[in-house]
Amino acid sequence: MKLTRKTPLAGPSFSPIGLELRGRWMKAAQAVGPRWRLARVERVVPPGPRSWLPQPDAVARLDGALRAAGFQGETLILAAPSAALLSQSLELPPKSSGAPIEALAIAEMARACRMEPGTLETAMWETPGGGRAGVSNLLAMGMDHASASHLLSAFDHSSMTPITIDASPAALGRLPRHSPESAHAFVDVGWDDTVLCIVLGGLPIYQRRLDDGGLAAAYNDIAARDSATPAAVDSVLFPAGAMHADAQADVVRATLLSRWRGSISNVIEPLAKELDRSLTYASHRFPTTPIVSVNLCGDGALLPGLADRLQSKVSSVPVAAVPDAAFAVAQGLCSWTGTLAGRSFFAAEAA
Amino acid sequence: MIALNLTPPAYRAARDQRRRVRAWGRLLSVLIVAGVLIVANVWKDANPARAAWAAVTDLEGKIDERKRELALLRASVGLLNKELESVTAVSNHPDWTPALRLIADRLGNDVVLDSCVLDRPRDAPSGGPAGLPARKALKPAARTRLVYALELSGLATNQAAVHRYLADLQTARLFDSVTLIETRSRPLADRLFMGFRLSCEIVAPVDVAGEKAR
Repeated sequence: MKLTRKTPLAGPSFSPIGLELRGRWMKAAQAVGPRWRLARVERVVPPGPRSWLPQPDAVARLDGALRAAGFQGETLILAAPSAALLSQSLELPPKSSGAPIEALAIAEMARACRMEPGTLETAMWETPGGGRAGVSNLLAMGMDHASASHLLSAFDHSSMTPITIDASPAALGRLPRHSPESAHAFVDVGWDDTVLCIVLGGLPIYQRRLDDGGLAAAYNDIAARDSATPAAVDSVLFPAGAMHADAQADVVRATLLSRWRGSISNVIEPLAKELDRSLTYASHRFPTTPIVSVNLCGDGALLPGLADRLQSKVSSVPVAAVPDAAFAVAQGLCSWTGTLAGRSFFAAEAA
Repeated sequence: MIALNLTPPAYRAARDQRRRVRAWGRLLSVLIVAGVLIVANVWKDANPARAAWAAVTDLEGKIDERKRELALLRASVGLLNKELESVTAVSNHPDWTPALRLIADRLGNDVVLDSCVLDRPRDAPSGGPAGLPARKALKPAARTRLVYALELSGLATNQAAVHRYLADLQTARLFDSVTLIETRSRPLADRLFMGFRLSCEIVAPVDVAGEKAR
């Protein structure tokens, strides 16, 4: 897929800016010519139901950071925060039956989420069968209008203009990879939660969110035990730059890793268990579409021991982190186009 | 592949409306500019008086320019005329050799000359050669002929010799007129001679006066 577009004066081509708001970090990516521009701005996660909503000062800092990093344009593609993204697998009559599938799906999703149908913005598409005959399997994703409005209005005073809110599984599905027509699993380890999703031919067919399955649990545990700041924990869990070259620092890091192993395992073990469970479910649900890879992404993708533990748990499928794992969703957002958003994803219509 | 758009319909509608307003604004701006240009062009073409005034103004400018050129040319002509007069004054003199030779040849043994004076040339009257009554100065524009007067004075043995000399000069047809001004008896060495004064005039165009004299 072509990510970038030509500027009017045929200067360097650039894509829209993909922005993921999740936990401690606001992560932005933009394809400029053949290269990626990446930027990450930290923010304070406030307590409350809409902790994902960025504060005005954080948006202002993000604005400045993007300009300083050479981001171009003002078009912003947002990812719906995982806590605000509603997802539902549905079984409905086939499209060919003439039943109002969209209306039924929205009503069903609203009922499951305990919301009014008119307050939801949803998108849905067919997933592979495997269920009962005469039933159409759908995956619907949506966001309630109030949350979407809050998210969009956070950028009212920014130089950037959000043009859409996408879902992170869809963005991951647009990432380029080998054998794109096969099924791939993604483990998106975030700050507050972890999202497991399976993508078939670029189309998400399964999604599961693990509350409290993110890095915050480990960080809070370590902070409670050793009073370590998040930045200090970052430098041990995700070393970068000079730490690699300093032997003394490596010894300290190894010591701290050993000390914090229990806290890290409290994150990894549930993940491994849930991944195994989800893959088993997917193999029964989609028997004709075997999963060929497990891809780690998100802030915690490079958590020490995570890939090895997941690989030992699901030995039949290779497990590896994607390039620029922390920015995988933001990079996928960059390939959002209105043409793709306007497509119909019902097999009956396509036929 | 799929791409979602989970923005609320109200936001999309507002965004689309802003986009439409911007697009209409751009289109309107272009139309206004184009309209102003077209109206200005049409108004200029459709208003003949204004077009005529523009043409008159243009012509006046051209006339002024030509006037300035003409003044410069006149100044140049004046300078050239002065130069020409100077050159003429220096170089355009008649050749009196044939006249003097004739005067000397016709003397004979009974006539001698004691003076030969060439007067300043004067303008010829319009009526014809010298001697005619109209002797008013000609206007500079009509100054095309000059009268050259050569006054001879001398002694002759008698009155008949004076008349013979006068007749010889007249019959030679070199001079346009030969006039006897006076005769008077003059004693010289115990003998009485006849003194005389003659005026020989040549009328010639200004530019060929020299040729005529020849």
